[in-house]
Amino acid sequence: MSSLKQNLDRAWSQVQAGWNNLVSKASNALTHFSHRKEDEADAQSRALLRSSPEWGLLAAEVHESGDDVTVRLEVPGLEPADLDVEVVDRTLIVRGQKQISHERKEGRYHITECAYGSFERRLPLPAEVDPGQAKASYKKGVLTLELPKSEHEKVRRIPIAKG
Amino acid sequence: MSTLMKATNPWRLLDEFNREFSRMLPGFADDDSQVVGSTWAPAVDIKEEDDKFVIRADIPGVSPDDIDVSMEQGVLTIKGERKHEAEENKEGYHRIERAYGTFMRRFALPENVDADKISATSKDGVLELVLPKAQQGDQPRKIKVEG
Repeated sequence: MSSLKQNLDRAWSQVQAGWNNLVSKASNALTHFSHRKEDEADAQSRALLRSSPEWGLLAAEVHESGDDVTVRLEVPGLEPADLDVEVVDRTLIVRGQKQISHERKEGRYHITECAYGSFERRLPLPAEVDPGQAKASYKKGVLTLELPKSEHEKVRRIPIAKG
Repeated sequence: MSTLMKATNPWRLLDEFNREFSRMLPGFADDDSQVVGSTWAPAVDIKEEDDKFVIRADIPGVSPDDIDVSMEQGVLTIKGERKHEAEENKEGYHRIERAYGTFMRRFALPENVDADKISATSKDGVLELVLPKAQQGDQPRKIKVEG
């Protein structure tokens, strides 16, 4: 009975995740989470991983101004050390690992909607950027990247002389 | 394709299915996320231990000051608002997947909790609530019906 409920819970959370996703029109934010062996170190973690969805919504925002591109990505519950950011050509790649907070205390999961494990999100950038000059910060579960555009991409305003 | 599918909006069917489905699940009555007035709903994990419930909700980009947690008649409500982080030129956006505005989740807990002892912490966009169960003495008394 409890495994039936777990399966129902899982089916439900997947339906719900899919539904919420459609509502928010954020289909691109749906990111796959894969589990590693070491995530399943104890019984409690195994119980959580068994029922938690393999897909999570990591919502992004990409903004372009004259000189730089700003990317914000919602990645709650991570340590900055578990995040890895890379720029390949005009694609931003964010890899991360959302760890289960290990607790020995036994319990029963009623609702499991949060995704755990490792993920990779690729975002096309609207301009070529200089990764060497990039700034990254992680605050309130949001990763913010400020990526200055490559010199030749910067907008140069050309003043028009009065004739 | 059946006439039923042709005649009705498939999303409405899914919505109805959702509602029926949530009614089937015992214990937690989650009054689904499409609550009037709220624009998004955070994902949650709810764990029950012997003496307490532990609830974790992913609420990235929301200040603790903008999160409101309340408990009334056995129903826990988590609500709040995600505000824009910076005033940016709206025309510069290439991608907006993030939802702004108010959110709400509501759960009917299957057992009494001690509302005065609920604690809430927020770290890296994850809200953690610890809800200690009420002591036996606080449980509703059984009243014997005498014949």
